Amino acid sequence: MWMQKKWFKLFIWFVTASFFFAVGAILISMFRFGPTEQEAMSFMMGMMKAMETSLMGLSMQVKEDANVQRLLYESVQFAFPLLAISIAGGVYVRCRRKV
Amino acid sequence: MKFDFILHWLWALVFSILALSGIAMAGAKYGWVMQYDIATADIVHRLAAVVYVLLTLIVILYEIIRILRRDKTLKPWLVFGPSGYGLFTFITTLIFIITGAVIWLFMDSNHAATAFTLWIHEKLTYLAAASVIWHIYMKSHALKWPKNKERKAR
Repeated sequence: MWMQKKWFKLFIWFVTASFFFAVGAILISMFRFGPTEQEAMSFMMGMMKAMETSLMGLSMQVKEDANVQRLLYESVQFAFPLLAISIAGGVYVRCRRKV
Repeated sequence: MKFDFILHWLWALVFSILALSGIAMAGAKYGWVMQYDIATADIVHRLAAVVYVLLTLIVILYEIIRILRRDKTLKPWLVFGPSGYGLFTFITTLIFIITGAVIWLFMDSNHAATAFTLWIHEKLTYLAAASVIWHIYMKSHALKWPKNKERKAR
């Protein structure tokens, strides 16, 4: 029923076009000449910026901080059993229900 | 409203975001896709990856519950399946998640592992993107715009 709605059709067209753009971008980038020196510089600058301002840099800082590492380790000790109990409980409740 | 239908389209949207942001980081030749804004591409890619992993968990749990309840109703929209494109999606998804996790966790500690998994992650992206185009071609009837019956009746 949703598939017949116009706004949903528009969504499908949008998602489909994005995949065609992705494949187009791969093919164009793969078979063209280059990269030029300017492009390589832009890419390196982007990478450097990512190291400072993005999660890429943040994750590296986290790995170097001993306190954060200990906190993460202890959180994981709690998180995994809780996660396992929640999943088991959820599956049990879902299976016991008739509807 | 069908749960598997919603999952399918959420999946498609998240995969599209992952593909576009990932391509931008694949190398200097590909950076133009996001105007060399690698920082934004990195944030978008990691956030979408978290949603991707969660969606995978939800689909797997949904299948486990269906098996436990002996639910044999056909779910044509379900992302994973025992054969065909569903199986391909399942295998590629697991490889994407494992290689992605290795890249994320060992980027600055184990360079050999990161380089190897990055190579697999990148090449698999090209294969998956090509397969999605084939999938769209096979299901192209979904792209047909609905006909306005009222106007036609007049």
